[in-house]
Amino acid sequence: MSNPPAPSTLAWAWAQIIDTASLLPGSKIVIRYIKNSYQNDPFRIALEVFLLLFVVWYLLEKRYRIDHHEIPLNKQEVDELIDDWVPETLVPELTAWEQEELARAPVLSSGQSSKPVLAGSQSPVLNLASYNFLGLVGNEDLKERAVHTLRKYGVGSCGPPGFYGTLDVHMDLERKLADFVGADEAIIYSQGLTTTLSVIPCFSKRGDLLICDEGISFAVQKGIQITRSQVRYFKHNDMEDLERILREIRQEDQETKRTITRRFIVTEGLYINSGDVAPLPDLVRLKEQYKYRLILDESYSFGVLGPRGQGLAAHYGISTDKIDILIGSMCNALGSSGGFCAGRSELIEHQRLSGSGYVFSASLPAILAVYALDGLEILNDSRGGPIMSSLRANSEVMAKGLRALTRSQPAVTLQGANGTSPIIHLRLDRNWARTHLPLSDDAEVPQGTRTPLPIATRVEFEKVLQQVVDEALSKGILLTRAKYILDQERSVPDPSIRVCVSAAHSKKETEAAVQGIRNAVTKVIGSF
Amino acid sequence: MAIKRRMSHLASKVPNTNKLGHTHINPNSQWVNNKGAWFTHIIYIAFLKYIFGIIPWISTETSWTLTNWVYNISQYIMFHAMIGTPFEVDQGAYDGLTMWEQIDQGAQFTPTKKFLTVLPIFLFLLSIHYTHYDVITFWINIAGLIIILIAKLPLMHRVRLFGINVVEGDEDEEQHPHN
Repeated sequence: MSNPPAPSTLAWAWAQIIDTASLLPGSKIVIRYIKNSYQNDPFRIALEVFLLLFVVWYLLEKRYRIDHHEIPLNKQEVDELIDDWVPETLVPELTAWEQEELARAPVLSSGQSSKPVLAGSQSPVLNLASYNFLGLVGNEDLKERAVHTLRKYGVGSCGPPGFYGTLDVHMDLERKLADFVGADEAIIYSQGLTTTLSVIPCFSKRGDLLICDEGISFAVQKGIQITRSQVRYFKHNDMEDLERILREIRQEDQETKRTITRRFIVTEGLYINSGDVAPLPDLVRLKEQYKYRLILDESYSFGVLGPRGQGLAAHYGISTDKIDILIGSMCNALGSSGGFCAGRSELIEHQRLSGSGYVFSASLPAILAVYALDGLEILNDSRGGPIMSSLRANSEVMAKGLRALTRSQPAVTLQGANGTSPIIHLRLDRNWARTHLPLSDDAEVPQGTRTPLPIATRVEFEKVLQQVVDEALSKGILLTRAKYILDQERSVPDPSIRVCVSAAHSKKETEAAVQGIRNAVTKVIGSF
Repeated sequence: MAIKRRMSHLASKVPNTNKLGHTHINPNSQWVNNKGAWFTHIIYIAFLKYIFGIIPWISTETSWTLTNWVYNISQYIMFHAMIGTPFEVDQGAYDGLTMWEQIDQGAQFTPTKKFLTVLPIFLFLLSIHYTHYDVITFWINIAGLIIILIAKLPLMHRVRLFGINVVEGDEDEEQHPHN
């Protein structure tokens, strides 16, 4: 162990340093500062120097983004990327089946109605393809009123509602819609699909929680996607599965002590993809028990369910207050355009500044607002009763008739044939297809019903269904297959013919339609 | 399809500028950059020192210590304790982030961040220059400074220690891709 240097040596060295330093201009101030700060403690001076060095380092660092993980590409990689890039064609080449589909699209020579005339023909056909449930499309009285409105207001409103797009008829329509469904207030959007797309992200944001039915429509799926919320799906219309998920989430909450305040259950009133009716009483019980809010897309149930078409709540005799956010559409049953959201005043007022479809779109043209208003009036007064009972009777006739068909014909299955829903899906049975359809090698039918069909198999199914559609059309019944944007759907249902019953048809006509469909199905299936 | 798959290994490396590009200014943190806001810090420190200095029974050491701590605690509450934003910006991109992490959209070493880091250091240096702290008071003073500085370091960006400021259910979008 060597001896530590004598204090006198250190002091001498220090004096030398100070002497040398004092030759520099301005050094006296620095030396005085250091002497004052020193206070007989070398540790403090070291710390001070360290802090000063930290300041210098911090000030000299360059600005950068911490989450910016830029990966430098060399020239070869850049060239490879550029060579690989193939611009997507503006008009992609159609497959043989797509061309056939286009060629078979029905062309009308008359206006749209429940009995339109097809191009190249003289006699009207029975339209079971449009969502014209109440027969309000093609109603002569409404058409005349619409023409008057056109003369008064012109074609478009040319501005979003928040600027100068709001007309008296819009405010009228909002009031009447709210009264009709039994909500505090309503807000109208100018397009049906964007209503759902705007309302869901207006309330649910990143970090929030959505519990959704698996069988929801395209619009709800897209609305959910925009929210960036956490999403959980429960089995279609399966309340036990919903409760299982709600219980799981409650347990997770307790374990992680998280607090998500905005939680929603999202379903449709009447599912367009299946024709099923949502069990609202159970949904309300569960959402109250587990403290969720309910977003209900009534695009297809509005005007259809309930004694006067007020929607799902009236169908079950429940107060509309139980549905926190009710989304409706005026494009389907009312035969107009646009959609609406009804609920408590606070929820509606929030959308006037936050509902993107309301804020950034031109408002509904007056002619369409008036058409919807007149449709509501029909439902409200004495004309509504016969229309609703005709729709019920026709739905029941159709459901009963098609159920009889499936009993005698195992090749087809039904969905939505519950007698309440005017939407019925007629599907090919997978078991029948596996044994009877001449499938190519790459087309196979998966076991069970939950696995979606491969594209090649879908096309084979669609071709058979299209034969049924063509056959029915030759007998004067206009049907359509349900069409989907395949690569955008979360889980796409099996191909189907979507039969839409209309109140504008008489009971006899509906019976004739049932018979026509039965004959067409039997004939096409018999050929395999 | 085959072409797309071939390029995907490289394409995934290219940063998605769309996701990083912040289209909206965050009104919750934007005002911190104002020169007036900078100046307020200096006025606040002078005010604290003045108030603690005129209380008769408080020594110089104690008044500097109090000034240091009150200012550091204020900074901690303002920039490191309150999380989230009352405004709706970029669909909740700033939810669960402290004010410090929100300043300048999360960029590091920006002028405001430099100013707010250097200020408590100078306050500390000033205080040890004017006082004769004993060992305990000295460590009390430097402890406050160290806590404040650690929270400001770039390597602490979005890092949560001891469960402080952790928000459950606030996951980044990468963790649950859609479809």
